[in-house]
Amino acid sequence: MKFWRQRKDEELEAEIRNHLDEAIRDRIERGESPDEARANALREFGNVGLVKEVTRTMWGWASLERLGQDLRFGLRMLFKQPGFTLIAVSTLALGIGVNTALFTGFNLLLRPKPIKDPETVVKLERRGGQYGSFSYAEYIALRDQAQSLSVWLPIYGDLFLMGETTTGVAPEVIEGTFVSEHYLSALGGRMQLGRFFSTEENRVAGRDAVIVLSHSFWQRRFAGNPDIVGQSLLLNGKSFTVIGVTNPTFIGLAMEMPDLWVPLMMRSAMLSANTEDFNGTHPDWFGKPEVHWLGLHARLQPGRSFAEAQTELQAVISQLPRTTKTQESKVTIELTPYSGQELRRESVRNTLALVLGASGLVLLIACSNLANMLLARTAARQKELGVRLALGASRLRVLRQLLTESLLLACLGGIAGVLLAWWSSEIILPWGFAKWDGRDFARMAMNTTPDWRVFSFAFLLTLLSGFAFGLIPALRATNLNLIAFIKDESAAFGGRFARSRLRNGLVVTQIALCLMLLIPAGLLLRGLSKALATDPGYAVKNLLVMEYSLEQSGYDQARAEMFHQQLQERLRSLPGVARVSRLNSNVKAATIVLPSERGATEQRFEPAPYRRVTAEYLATIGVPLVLGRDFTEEEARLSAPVVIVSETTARRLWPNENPLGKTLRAEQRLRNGDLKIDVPTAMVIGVARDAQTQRVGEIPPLYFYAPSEEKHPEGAFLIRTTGEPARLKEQLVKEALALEPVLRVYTPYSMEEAIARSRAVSETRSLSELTMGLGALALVLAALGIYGVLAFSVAQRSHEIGIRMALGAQTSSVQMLVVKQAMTLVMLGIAIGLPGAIAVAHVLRSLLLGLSATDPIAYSGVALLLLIVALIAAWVPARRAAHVDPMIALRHQ
Amino acid sequence: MKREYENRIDLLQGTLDLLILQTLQWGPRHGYVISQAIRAGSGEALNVDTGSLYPALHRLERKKWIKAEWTVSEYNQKVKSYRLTAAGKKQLAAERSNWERLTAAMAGILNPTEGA
Repeated sequence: MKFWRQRKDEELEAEIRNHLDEAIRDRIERGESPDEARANALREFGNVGLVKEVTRTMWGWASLERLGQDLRFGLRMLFKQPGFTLIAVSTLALGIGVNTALFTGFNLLLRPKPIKDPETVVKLERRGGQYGSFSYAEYIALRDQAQSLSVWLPIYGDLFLMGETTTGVAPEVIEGTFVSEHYLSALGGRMQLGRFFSTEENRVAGRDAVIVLSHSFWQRRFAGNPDIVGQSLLLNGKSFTVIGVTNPTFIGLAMEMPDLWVPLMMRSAMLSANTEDFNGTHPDWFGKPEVHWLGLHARLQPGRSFAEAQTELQAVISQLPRTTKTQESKVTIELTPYSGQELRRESVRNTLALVLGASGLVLLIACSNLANMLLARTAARQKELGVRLALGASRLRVLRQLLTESLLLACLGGIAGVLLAWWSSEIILPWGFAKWDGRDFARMAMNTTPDWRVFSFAFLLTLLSGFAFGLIPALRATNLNLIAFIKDESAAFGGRFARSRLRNGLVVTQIALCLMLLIPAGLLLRGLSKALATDPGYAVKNLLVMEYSLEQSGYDQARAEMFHQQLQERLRSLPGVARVSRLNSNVKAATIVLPSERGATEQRFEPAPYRRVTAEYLATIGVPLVLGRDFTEEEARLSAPVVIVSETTARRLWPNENPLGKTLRAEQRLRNGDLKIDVPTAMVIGVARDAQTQRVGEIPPLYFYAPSEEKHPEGAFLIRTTGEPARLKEQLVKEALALEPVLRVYTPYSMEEAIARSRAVSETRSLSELTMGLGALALVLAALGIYGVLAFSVAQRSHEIGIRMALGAQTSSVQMLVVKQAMTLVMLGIAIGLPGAIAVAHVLRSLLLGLSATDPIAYSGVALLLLIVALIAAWVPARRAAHVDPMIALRHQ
Repeated sequence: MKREYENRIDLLQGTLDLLILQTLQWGPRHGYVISQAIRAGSGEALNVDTGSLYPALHRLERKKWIKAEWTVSEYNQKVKSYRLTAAGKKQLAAERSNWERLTAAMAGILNPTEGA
C-alpha cells in the first residue's frame, strides 16, 4: 500500500507539474515574459498543496491513510510530553480501572454458571400453598408425569455435626447437601478422586452411608489428603464412607459449594427432626405427603416452551390428593430460569445501579480533569493549530486529529485500567464478597479472569471517555479567530477568556460530582457511628449469646428440657457470669387488638413485633422497667395472660392514661384465612424502656413482651457477664459439651459482634466504605483539577499580577486573589451539586440507620472538607502568584 | 486582471463531470487541455478551477468512467491523458439526457409563453 501510494503521489505531482508547464508555455506563446508567465500560471492554478490534498481524498482509502497519519502524529505528541501523558493515562486508568473492577464483580453474576447447558435448567417453586418446598410424593409425581421436563434434580441442604463424639474434641458443624445420584453427571461435573454415588446407593431409604466431599472441604479440613477415599467420617454420630472428592470447579446448583454431598435417600437416617415434630418421633421423609423439604430443579426438554411446562406442571400438581392435615387452598408452581437468578433480584439490581453509578461519577470527574488538562495543552498548541488551519486544513480535519489524540490517550488509559482492574479484582473481590454477602470466595469457584463482557464494558467506557474529555477541548481549539492568531497571539484575548470560563466550569462540575459521592459517604458514616453510639435502650456491653441445637442428640422433649435447665445452672455458677436467661431468638409479629371498653368498639393496630421471654430476660438484657413489675417464673412457666409493653407502645395505645391494668390481645390472619390468636386477652403488668432490640438504630413503634418457657430443641442463652465477655466464650462451649458431647453448639458471640454483623449495619458499613473509597478518589481528582485550573490561571494572569504588585499590592492580597478564586469555584460547585446530593441521599434513606437524609452535620462536614481540600490545592498556585516578579512579568509581554 | 474573470459563470454542482466526459468524447486528453477546451468551448464563459478539475478526474477514474494512460506529448513530455471508457460513454449519454431535460424544464419555467 505504501508503494502504491508513493507512486500515486509522484504521478499526481507530475500531472500538476505538467499542467503548469503547459500553462506557462501557452502564456509565453501569447507574449508574456517567462517570469510573468510563471507567476500568472501559478496564480491561476491556485493552492497547489490544497489541490493535491483534495485530489488525494478521491483515492478512496484516504480516510484510512489519514487515520494512520493522525495516529502517528498523536503518538508523537504523547511521547513529546511524557509528563502530561503519564498523568493523563494514570488518571484515566484509575477511573476506568475502578469501574471495570466493580463491573468484574457483578459480572460474576452475569457469567453463565459453571454447569453443563445452564440455559435449559429451570427452578421450580411451590407457591400459593402453605409450604415453599415440595414433598417427596410431589417430586415423584412431577418427575413421572411431566413430559416437558427431564433430568430432575431434587436437592436439600442441611447442617451436620461432624467429628468424634466421645472425646473432648469439639465437633464441627458442616454443610451438606442431599442430592440424587445423577446430580454430578447431569450438571457436567467431574470427580477429583473416587466416584459419585450410584443409583443403587440412592435406592433404599437410610441404607447406604456414603458421602462425596467437595473440593474446598477436602482442602480445608483434610489438607487435600489423597488417601481420603475409603475412610470413614462420623456425621451426626453415624459412620459414613467417603467414596470420592469432586473437581474444584464443581459447585452444583447453589451459589457456593457445600462441604459434602449425601444420597437423598439417606435423609431419614440423619436423626434430624423438624422443630414442629419434636416429640422424639421422626418425620417420614419419603412417605407422608405433608413433609415438605425438597427444592427442585429440572431441565426443559428440547423443543418445549416455558409456558407448556408451566401448564403441564400445574395440571399434575392440582391432581394430587390433598391430605386433611394440609388444608391448602390452591397450590401453584412457579417456574423460573436457573440462569440469571441473581440479576432478577431487585436488591442486586439496586446495588448494581448504586455502585456502578458511584464509580461512574469517579470516571466523570477523571474525564473532566483530562478535559481541563487538554484545554490547557491546546492553549499551548494554539499557534500550531492556528498555522495548520490558516494553511488550509479543514476544521474537520484538525478536529479529527485532536479527537484521534484523545482516543489514543483513552485507549492507553483503558488498557492500563483493565490491567489495574484485573490485578485488583483478585484482591478486592474475595474481600468484597465476604464483606457484602458473608460468602466464602474459595467455595464459589469463581473465575475472576476478565471475559468478553468485561472487555467490552472497558472498551465502551474507554470510547465514551475519549469523546467525553476530548470533544470540548477539540471543538474549542479549532474555533479560532485565525486573523488574530496570525497577527499576534496575545490579541486573542476574548477566546482565552471564554476558555478560562470553560475550565472553571469543568472544575465546578467536578466539585458538584464530588459532592454527590461525599455526601452519601458522610451520611452513611454518620448514620453508622450515630447508630452505634446512641444508647440502644439495653446494656450492650458484657452480653453474650450462645446458641446450640439438640437436634442431633436424639433427645425427647422432657430430656431436652432437663438439658436446658442443667446447662443454665452450670452457666450461672461460672465465675464472671452475672445472669443467664434462656433466649427465644424468634421474634414474631401479630396484630394488637384493644378489646371494647365502656361501649367503644374494638381498636385494631398494625402488625407489631413481639417477643416471648422468660422471667429473667429483661433483667439479663438490661432493659429497665419504667412502670409496673417484671414477669414471675410462675407466669413464664404457665404462659400467663400478662404482657409488658414498650414505652412508645404504652403512649400510643393509651395516651395520657395509666397503662397498668389495661388489656390487649394479639392475633394474626393465616394464609388460609383462619384467625390465630397469638396472645389471648392479657393484662399489662409493666412498661419497659424503648430498646433497639429489633433493628439497629430503630425503635419499633409497637412492641411488647409475653411470658413463656422455651420448648424447642434449639437452645439459646443470653449471658450477662461481670467483665470482658470474650474470654468466657470458650468456657461456655466446654460447659455445654461436658453435659452432652453430641451437641451442635455454635461459637458464642457478644452483642457488639452481633450488631456489627447484623444485616443493617454490615450493609451500611460496606456501602459507606465503598462510597468513602470512591469519594476519596474523587476528592483527589477534584483537588488536582482545582490545582490545575488555579496554576494555569496564575500563569495566565502573571502580567496582571505583576501590574498589581508594581502598583503596590501586598503579597497577601495577591494570594487572596487565588484563594478567593478557589473558594468561589468550590462554593459554586457545592451549590450546583447540592440538589443531586440530596436526591442520592434520599435514595439511600433506608440505609442510614435512622439518620435524617438531610443531616446538617454530614452536609456541613462534607462542605468543610471540600473547602479545606480546595485551600490545600490553592496553596502552591497562591505561593507562585505571590512570587511573581513584576519586572519579569511586565517584560514578558 | 480581475476584470477578465468577471463575466465567468460558476459551474453548477455536478455539471463538471458532464463537461469532462463530453470533452473526452473526441479522444484522450490530459488535464490542462481539458480545462482549456472547456474554457474555449464555452467562449471563455466557464472557468474550470484546478481545485475541482483534478479531484473530478481522479473521482471519474475511480468510477471507471475514464481511464488514465501515460503518453508522450507533442513537446516530448510524459503526460497523463484520460480516455473515455465504455461505461463512461453510457454515463455521458445518461447525463446528457438528464441535462437536456433539466434545461428544457428550466426554460419552461423561465419563459412561460414559449412553453404555451
